[in-house]
Amino acid sequence: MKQKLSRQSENISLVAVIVVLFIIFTILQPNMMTLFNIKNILVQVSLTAIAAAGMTFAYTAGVFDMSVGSILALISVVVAKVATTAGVVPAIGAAFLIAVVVGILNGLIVTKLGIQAFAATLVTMILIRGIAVLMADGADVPLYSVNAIKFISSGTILGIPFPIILTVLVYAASYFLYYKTEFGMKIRSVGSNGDASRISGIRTDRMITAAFVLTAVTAVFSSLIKTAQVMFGKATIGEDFALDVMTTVILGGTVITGGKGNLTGTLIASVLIAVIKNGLNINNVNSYYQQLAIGIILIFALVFNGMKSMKNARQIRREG
Amino acid sequence: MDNFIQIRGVSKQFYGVYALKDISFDIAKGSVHAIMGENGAGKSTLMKILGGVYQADGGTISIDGTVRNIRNVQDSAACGISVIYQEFNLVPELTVAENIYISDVPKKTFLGIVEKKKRRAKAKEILDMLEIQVNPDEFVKNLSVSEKQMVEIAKALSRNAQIIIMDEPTAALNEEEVQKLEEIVGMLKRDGKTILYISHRLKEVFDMTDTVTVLRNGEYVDTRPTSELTEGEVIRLMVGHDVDYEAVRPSYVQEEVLLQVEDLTLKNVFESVSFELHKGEILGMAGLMGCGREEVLSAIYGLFGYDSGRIRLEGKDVRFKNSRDAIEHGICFLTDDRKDAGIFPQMSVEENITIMSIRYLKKKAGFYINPRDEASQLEKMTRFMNIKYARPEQKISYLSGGNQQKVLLGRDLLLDNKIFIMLEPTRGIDVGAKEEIYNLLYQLARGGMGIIAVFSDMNELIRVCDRAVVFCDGKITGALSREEFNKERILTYAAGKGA
Repeated sequence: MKQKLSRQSENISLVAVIVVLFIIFTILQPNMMTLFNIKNILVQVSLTAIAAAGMTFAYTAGVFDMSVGSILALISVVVAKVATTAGVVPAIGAAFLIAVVVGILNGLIVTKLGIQAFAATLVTMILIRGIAVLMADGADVPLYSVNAIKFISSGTILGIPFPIILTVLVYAASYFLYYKTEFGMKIRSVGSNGDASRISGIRTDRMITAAFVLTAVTAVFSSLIKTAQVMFGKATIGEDFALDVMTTVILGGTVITGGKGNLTGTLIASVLIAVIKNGLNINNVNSYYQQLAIGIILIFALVFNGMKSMKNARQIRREG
Repeated sequence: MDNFIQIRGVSKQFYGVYALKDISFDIAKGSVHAIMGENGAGKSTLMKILGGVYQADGGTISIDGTVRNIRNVQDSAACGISVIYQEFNLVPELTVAENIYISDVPKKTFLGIVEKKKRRAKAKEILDMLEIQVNPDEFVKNLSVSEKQMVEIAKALSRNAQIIIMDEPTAALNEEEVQKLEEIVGMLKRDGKTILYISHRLKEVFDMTDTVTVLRNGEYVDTRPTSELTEGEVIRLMVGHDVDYEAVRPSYVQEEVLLQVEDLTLKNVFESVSFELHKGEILGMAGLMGCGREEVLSAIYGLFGYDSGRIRLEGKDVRFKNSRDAIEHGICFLTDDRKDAGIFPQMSVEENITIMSIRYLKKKAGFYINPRDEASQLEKMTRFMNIKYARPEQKISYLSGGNQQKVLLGRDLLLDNKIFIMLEPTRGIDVGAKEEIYNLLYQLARGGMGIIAVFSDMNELIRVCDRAVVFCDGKITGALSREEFNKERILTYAAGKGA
């Protein structure tokens, strides 16, 4: 029991920060506590949280994906183009197909060409953004004729906004994959010790590629929500998205050197960031100060987590 | 000066558990003093206290009659102590000379410009004195493990320390290099330095040291002159009970040939390597560091390619394109680099042991693994090998070296394989666990498994194996049966003089 608690302590501390911030914001501006606003926050959460679930797998496998923002844009343009010409179902099908291709491309560059994930996905980030801009022909692709798309961002099932349902489904699937399957165990083993994985007969290249595919596929959900919110296929969306997603994952307590992800932490961290943004907005804080405030809060959260991992490292050294 | 260093009542606790409890003993000036004990006995903790890495909770350390308060590494250096740790503290991207003088850079007073020529010359001087054939301008990342070890020693000496602590300096060295180290230690002793020497290898301790102190479970057991002890006595002091050290075992070698390797060649790495492995046989592979035996075995296992030659498994030609392929044919492989290529440090004991066999577990809907199936796999191996851990979810990094090694062996044994390739199966584990691993090997051989084992400690090879092939420069220079085993012969072949 004690062990269980200590393993969750990281998550608990993030939850505590959320509760404290929420109380402060509510005292300053009682509108924070309305059902409407809470729903609003959760919908905001879904956008980064879903892609961050995929990114957690990437970090766990020892890589990360700078190109997810560009994937967001490319998918947005493709969905708009296909949906207006061939319908919603082919559009979504095409979106997933492209995500798989992009994920494999990232994976092959990293594993077969031996280029570091940072450099490789930095290149594909530029490349994919370029393709998106070209496809959009420099303009936004309007989606007004396809009303069904709207459901993805603003539809509800039993009163629950659809993006929230999507988030829950994606996380449920991710949990299952991460903790209950051979796949999840292998992703962790590859990030934990690549050489040992290879000797154990794990095809490390495939696992790393799979992590990139997962990241790209989850980015499709995020892109669909974003696209449905603006009802345009836009080649310019998601410029800061990769950084937002990566910040979320790291803040959530996933180890950046691989081997240990924290999906719960990722989810909580996305709520934390959304609460901060929403709270500052609702209190009419100037957007310049918002960036500053987010930065400061993040430093605190990271220092807090950093102290914990240092303590763990000390313990390992002692017993090793 | 019989009590140059006086250790009195030193204790250290970690999270309420005693790592050292009330340790008191003396170390004579100019002596070579061995500290022995199983893993977890507290040797390394004591050395880290002397080195200033840890602070003792209680007790005193006096050197040359004065009580010294060692609070950090700088204090320790000021006391004239220099520690060579088990893990190297070298910067791979810097040269040998830069590493030797990393904290004590020779520089001009004006502008603090580094005197590179002077540094190089001083480094060369130390290397020459130690008769180490390493270029001071070589980058450390290009050195072999043993060369790195020698550079560590040079670094410790450059500080002109009076007390030198060596924490398992020979773990990565082969016979010839150990001899070199023995010479160096002798030289240091003649210079009046005091040396604290930690090692698992009994032979070195008897060859080199004057006094032996034994620790067990963090407690002081005894200090005796080495000349008054026998190997058996030391082991008994360490383990706390008798170990049947010189037991002779029957051979389980069967007629049937499991593996035939013919003329295996990889240009510039190994050439025309041929040998065969029988059912129930423990085949030893001897040779000096860099002789190519690890590469040959990795090639068989599919981690490396090879240019020509053939491998026959139970009479059928095979060529494994990767390790997965080899595993599916019933071959498994134990690395000699437990930390960097063996364990998954962030993962649990249970996950570490099931990572390979999980593929063959039945899964619901093709995905879902029943946690009970995994638990039963761990239980099976825990019982089979007497693995000690607190909980299945415990991280493997928290286990002792011997238990980690058992987990790695268990990982492979869960697969029901026919051939087991092991590189240094007893590296870095204590005497008690070594015994258990020897017995495990015998048990596996009796069950009909073919085992290929690399040992750099020749005493182990001679003790454990049925037959040995000796490598030199990528070629097999000799093969010896159990009756023909002796050290001189193996060394002659290993030096390439026999064939």
